[in-house]
Amino acid sequence: MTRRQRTKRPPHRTPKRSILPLTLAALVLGVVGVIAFAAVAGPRGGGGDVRAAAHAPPPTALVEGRTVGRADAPVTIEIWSDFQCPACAILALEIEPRLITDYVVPGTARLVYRDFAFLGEESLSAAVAARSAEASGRFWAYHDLLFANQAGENRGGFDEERLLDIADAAGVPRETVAAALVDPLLRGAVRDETVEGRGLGVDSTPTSSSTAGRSGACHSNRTWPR
Amino acid sequence: MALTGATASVIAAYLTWTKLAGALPACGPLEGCEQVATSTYAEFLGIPVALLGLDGSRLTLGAALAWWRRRSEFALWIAYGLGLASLPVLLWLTYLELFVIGAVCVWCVAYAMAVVIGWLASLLVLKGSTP
Repeated sequence: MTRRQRTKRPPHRTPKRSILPLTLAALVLGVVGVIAFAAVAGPRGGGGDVRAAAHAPPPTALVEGRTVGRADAPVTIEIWSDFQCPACAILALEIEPRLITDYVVPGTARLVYRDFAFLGEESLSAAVAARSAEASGRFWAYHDLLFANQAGENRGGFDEERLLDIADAAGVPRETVAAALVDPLLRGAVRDETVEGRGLGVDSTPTSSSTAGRSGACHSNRTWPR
Repeated sequence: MALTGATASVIAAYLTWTKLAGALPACGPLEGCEQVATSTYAEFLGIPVALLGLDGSRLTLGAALAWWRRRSEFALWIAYGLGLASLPVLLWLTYLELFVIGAVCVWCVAYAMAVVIGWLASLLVLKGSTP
């Protein structure tokens, strides 16, 4: 026997077992995985108590509608968000408070919230409800509570009942939010602003733009200070 | 099988890294990656789904390599079983992308294709050698 023949790898052995038992076992395992995933993952609806935001809303003296900061601040930062977008929640709840403390309160910058409600009907309703809180100066409180209470997309997390519960928690009269939700002008205003955003090149959320430049959604979490 | 296992592992590793780093996967000119990656379906019991995919594809890669290098019939069965068990899960995740989240992540599609092709390869080998 030559050296080459001695070192040659053995041929593939023929499987002796039937393919059927393993096929059935693997399929059952996969289906069990799907059932477990469906039962545990994903939205759990909007029931239960309204969760409080981890930080206080911005100082009321600096708030005007959906803007926070002094009108003469040298830098204006516009943030295009959808209340159902999880990345927007990270920006709103983790990064914006630092921006407000470090730049808005000292007068360097002001933030402007812009609606880009593109994730479905509950995005639109949430944006309308938040706008209705402007009159009572509670937009930012309502904004924070919406982001702190996300519960999936269009699965009841921001249905009317939930938005009214959030109004209670934010100190906004329930009847104000209830009236806004059936106001076609407010819904139209949110839709128009979303269209305006598309016209400006916004295609995902959160997108922020400022006099210092623009940050697209894919870069927001990396470029903002955390 | 080894090639598709390696491809799936690289994709899953990238998605796991972006998830754990708090970043968003790069989509290039396509849209949907960030929406899928940040959806509530991107985690299972607090574990990133991409990490589960990485574990599965690494096991498949290991089994494929063992079959290739050592001619291990058992490893071939493992690769076949893992691929088959993944199919319902991948189908479910694709359904979620299309009909629940409303966005398609190109990385996830590429991962699913790699797993399906790898499983088909293992099936062909088994069918070709089963009496």
